[in-house]
Amino acid sequence: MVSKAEPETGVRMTTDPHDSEITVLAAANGLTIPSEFRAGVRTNLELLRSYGALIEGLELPDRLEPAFRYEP
Amino acid sequence: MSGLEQRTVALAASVRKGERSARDLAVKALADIESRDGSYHCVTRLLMQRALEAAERVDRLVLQGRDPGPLAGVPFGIKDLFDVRGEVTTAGSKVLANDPPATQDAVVVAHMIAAGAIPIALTNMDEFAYGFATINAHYGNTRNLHAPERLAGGSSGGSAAGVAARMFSLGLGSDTNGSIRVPASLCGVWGLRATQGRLSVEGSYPFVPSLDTVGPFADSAGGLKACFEALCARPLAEVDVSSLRIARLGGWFGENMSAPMQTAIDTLSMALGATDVVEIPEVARARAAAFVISASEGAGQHLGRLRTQAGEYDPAVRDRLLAGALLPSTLIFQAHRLRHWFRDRMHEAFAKTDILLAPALVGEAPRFDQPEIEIGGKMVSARANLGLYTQPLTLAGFPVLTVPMKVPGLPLGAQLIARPGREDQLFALAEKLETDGLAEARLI
Repeated sequence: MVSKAEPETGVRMTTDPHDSEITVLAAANGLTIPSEFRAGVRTNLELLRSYGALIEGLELPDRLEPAFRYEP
Repeated sequence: MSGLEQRTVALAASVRKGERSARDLAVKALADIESRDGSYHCVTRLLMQRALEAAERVDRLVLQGRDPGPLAGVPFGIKDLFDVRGEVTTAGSKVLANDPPATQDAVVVAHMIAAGAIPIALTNMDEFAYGFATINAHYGNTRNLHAPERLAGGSSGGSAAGVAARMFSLGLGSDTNGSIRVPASLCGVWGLRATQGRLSVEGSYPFVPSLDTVGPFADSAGGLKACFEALCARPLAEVDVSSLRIARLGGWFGENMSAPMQTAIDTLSMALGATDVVEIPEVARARAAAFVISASEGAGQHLGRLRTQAGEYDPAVRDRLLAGALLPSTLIFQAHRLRHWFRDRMHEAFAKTDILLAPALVGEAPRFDQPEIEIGGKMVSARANLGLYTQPLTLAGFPVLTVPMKVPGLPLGAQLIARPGREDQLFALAEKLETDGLAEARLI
């Protein structure tokens, strides 16, 4: 699926839109994900996105603060 | 034989009285692990020298008439994410295997040794604690002592299975999404996820810093309590167990159980008089938030190495971490807001009760060759869904004790949940369940 590489950016261009998306997202974080890792990464990303949809499906008050620190 | 026929409290008492030698116990335990662990992979390294040093110190104190500590001579296993002086902390990985050895013990390891316990071995785990199975591409898979073709659970599987095998009486583990509660349930031993922040994580390799906890496994309810008191370095208050109000968690926690788990939970509920059912809203979203926070923070922890050494990670863990690195930051922010909201709902659930009862897992340990289980009428990943009932509770940070229910067949665990800081209530009920014959660690 890899059609060409652009060595000056490290971003690989692909013809598969999902693969392209992973390439772009990874590059934004300084990552290059080899083709042999892609299927596993995509499966996990899809799972995480399904959880993301659940999280965003709950309307929360604007003034509810995030609980980064644990305070029982 | 390991010499661990006695359970923790009785064993420590016999060492304290000078009836048994801590050194003899340590030598037997080390030899037993060497002879039996090849089939189970509970242990990754023996701590021969540290064990003998600690045991000789205990024997010397007994001989001098001094107090060797409440866990005198009791061997314990240590998940290989805790620093142990002189040992490399690998966290189940190869990428850390060339790190320098730790220069001091993790706080909980130091507390155990100060209480007279004997560090006997480092134990197997999912790489970087990211898994529920103790399936490790580098160090092997830990097998369930009760059915070696089945998972021991994880990620602290080596510590749980080692207690079930009587290789050591107590184990240290960590629990971010269920890594103590899942293997405790599948291996048939006692386990505790303490209130978030109650036990020190200093000297442990982090997985998800905002959700990580550490805690013990034990061969008995009394042993679990004694171990927790040692880890806190202070005794717990006595609790009148007859005053505790107990209810059962319904909704999410009442669905999808296997027939044996349903029967076991029904039986335990009835014995406890837990007729009231409490439902917590939005449990699926709470679990989702725990999942997303874990993937994101885990990825952040490893981002530098993922850029240069991703191929050296366990493939299953690597793909989870890489996927976590691709999530938008706004989602993590929302997940932490949901965490706040869900914690408030958990506090409301305790308005009229002191202890909530729930299954630890949907059923018995899956087989290694069984990649999927049925949940909600759909076939889903067995490994990812072992935390179905543990992971949502993680988000709230409340203490949870895993009870090995007395059942026929393979081990099944229940979760007892209390308000933050009320481990004393959990231990009081656990000891009563053991005394009444409703729960018992299943040791081989």
